[in-house]
Amino acid sequence: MRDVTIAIYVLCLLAALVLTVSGHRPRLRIGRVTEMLDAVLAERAPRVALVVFWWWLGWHFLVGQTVDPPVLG
Amino acid sequence: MTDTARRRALTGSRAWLRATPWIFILAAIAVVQIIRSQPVDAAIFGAGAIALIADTTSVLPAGREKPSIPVTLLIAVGAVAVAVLALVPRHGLVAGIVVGAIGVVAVPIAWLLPPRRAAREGEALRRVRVRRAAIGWACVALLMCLVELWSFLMGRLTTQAKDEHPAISELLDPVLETPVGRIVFVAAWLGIGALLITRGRRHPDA
Repeated sequence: MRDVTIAIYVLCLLAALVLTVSGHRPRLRIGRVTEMLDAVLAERAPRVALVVFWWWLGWHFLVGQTVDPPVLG
Repeated sequence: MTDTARRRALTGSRAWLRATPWIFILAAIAVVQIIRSQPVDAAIFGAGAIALIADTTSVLPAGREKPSIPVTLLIAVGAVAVAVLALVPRHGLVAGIVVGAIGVVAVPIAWLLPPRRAAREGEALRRVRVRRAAIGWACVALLMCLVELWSFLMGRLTTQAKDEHPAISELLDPVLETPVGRIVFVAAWLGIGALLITRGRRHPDA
């Protein structure tokens, strides 16, 4: 199960990479990341939600408790 | 009801509809933090959700337009932050002050209104391209969140279960213990943050 979980995370990373590259190929008709961000971040709710979540990731990995101890030990 | 009042009510209900998924996401993450026994983290996401609810009900002021942020300033601040966060120990006071200061600056900037974009030709085609990209990224984000949530819940009980169902935090934790890993992480984190606070363009008529 561990390998399957890691494989899905890697798959997500690869998919993000493919989406980023696809945005630079006009014939695929997929928007660039910056175009999409310009549209999504035009509204306050996604802008604030994404910035809060982004900031918390930094806090979680650099300052706060990154790994939780198991409940039953 | 007059036409103006009807239009205002319609605009208000649309604002609610568009904000609701984001409020739900922040509230859901706050609940996960409560399960993790991390009250401060839960309070951060809870406060974000409450602020957005207040915004949709027009309790809070609309805010002024975001000033343009010089790229040179972002690069200079980012370089200093990467250097400091790579050198100081994780989970320490200095790391807390630096990361805290970044949040204190970034979140209020996110609250401000973004500038309007110029009206261009080919608007319909651009909208299709953006929608496709948004659907693609949303699918990736959703899959990642579901697997992370599944791993978090399944791996909570015992060390053995944690090994079987690793969350992203468990996989990245040893990498971040090395200076190179920290430099890469902080540079990527700040780069994404710079994108989030500098992008966003309102509709020309908004």
